[in-house]
Amino acid sequence: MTIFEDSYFMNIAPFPAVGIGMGRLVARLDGETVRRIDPHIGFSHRGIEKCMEEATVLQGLVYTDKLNRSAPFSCAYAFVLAVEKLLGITVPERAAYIRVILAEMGRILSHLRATANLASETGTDIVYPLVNRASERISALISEICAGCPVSVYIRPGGVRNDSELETADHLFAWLSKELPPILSDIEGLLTENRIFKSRTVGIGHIDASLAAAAGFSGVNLRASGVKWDLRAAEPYDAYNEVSFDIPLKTDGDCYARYLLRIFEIYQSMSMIRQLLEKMPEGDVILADFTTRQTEVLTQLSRHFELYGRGIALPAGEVYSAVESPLGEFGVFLVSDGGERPYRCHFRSAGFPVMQALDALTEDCDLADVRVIVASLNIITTETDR
Amino acid sequence: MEIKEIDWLDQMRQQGFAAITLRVFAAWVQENAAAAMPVSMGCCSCFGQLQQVGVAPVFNPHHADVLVVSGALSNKAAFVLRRIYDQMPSPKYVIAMGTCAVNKGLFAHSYAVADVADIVPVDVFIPGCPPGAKEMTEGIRALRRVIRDKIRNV
Repeated sequence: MTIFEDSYFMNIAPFPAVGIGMGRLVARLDGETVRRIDPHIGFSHRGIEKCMEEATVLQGLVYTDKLNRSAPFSCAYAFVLAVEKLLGITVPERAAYIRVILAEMGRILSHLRATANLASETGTDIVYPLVNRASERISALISEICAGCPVSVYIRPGGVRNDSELETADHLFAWLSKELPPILSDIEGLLTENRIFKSRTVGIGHIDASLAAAAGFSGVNLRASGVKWDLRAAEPYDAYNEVSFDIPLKTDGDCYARYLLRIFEIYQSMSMIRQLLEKMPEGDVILADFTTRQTEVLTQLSRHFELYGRGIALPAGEVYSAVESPLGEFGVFLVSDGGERPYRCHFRSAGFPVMQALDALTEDCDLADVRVIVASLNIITTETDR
Repeated sequence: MEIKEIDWLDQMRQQGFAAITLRVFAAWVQENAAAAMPVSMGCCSCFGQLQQVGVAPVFNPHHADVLVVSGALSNKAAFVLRRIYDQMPSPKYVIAMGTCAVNKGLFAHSYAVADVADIVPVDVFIPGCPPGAKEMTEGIRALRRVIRDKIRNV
């Protein structure tokens, strides 16, 4: 880096401007042009990885859920898959379907919020009320599916906690066909061909495919650069090989491409939920070993003690399992020494590699564009800092 | 308040004026139109919650009457929180929102999480993970009570 005579440092904080988590960017400026950006991490570091070592599997679920609250069923899902891989169990088909539906609903929620944040950074605050309306409905539907169970422990090793009511599927169909499409078309009408929005996003925050892949990007941020990589298609887990879906791809690698991909993915998620609901199988939603539901009261009590008091014994070994979370690849590396609590639990967060590439992304851009670029990348600092 | 001032106020009142000290007036304004600065550390997003209960958020500590802290406060962010608090003009109030901010909650054993009450003096604790609209409304009411009590004790 050359040292410029007139250069000076400037704090860009708080980041993200609205929402959860806390971060700080230190920019080295040459007039209005950004020459270097140093992201400072750790403001949201809560030591979750260490907390996981003191927690049984069902307690650990609650911790993983706290990693990213703006996208429910993304982080806890990966942890559950890792535990199941370690235990070597396959969940009932119905549970796999319900999980994928919930994960896709979480993806819609997260993408909508990311779009609203991006829109607000470019000066279109009107998207917020639309997204709030949609996200309230999604949250209500999710709690309806979970049927009174706390959202953070619904997806659990062995399946899902309990089955939902019969009419829930009808509500979901109604939401998919009647409620969500008008909101989406409103958002698209406000943004996609909006000249101000396009002038703030097209060609801004460009990153090419080789650099994005080298930095460790994943998810929308990687696909916007033209790399076709999606864990749902590459390594399908649960019911993802039962549905057909497209992986939207863009080659521009700028903020506008990332915005468009999020909108396209929402439509893909909607079609996936519809397909899964149409061929939803009957049957149990959780394996018998992982539920407290027993015929006799005494066995029920002993199962309750075993599951919640002592915990599920994890066989010794190490395992890596990842899901395509709305932010990208979220992975869990789990090491067990044979006890009920994991020996080590490491999270591969999707936002961390993006943080280290922020400098390359904001190279020689305007100071005003930094917030737009950061918003388009959808970095959640609670997930990044763990 | 000094006794002289009260005498003067009484004299004004006897002459038929509605007299009030500036400090009481300021507290009355604060009670009814508090500007809250949300500082969200962890997973509860206090920005949206505040809007739901009708409190206008401000993003500058110099303009804020109330500091709303939500989420688990990490050791690194504790210094930032204290600096934000120090920049606020007196009289100032603090709301700790969410179980993590109240007593560290889930992260009681964590090496990286600090107690909000150790960093800044907290007036109102709002429990919940995350607190719902009902708890938030209760919390705002409790804050108004705190401010009103302050007027009485002046």
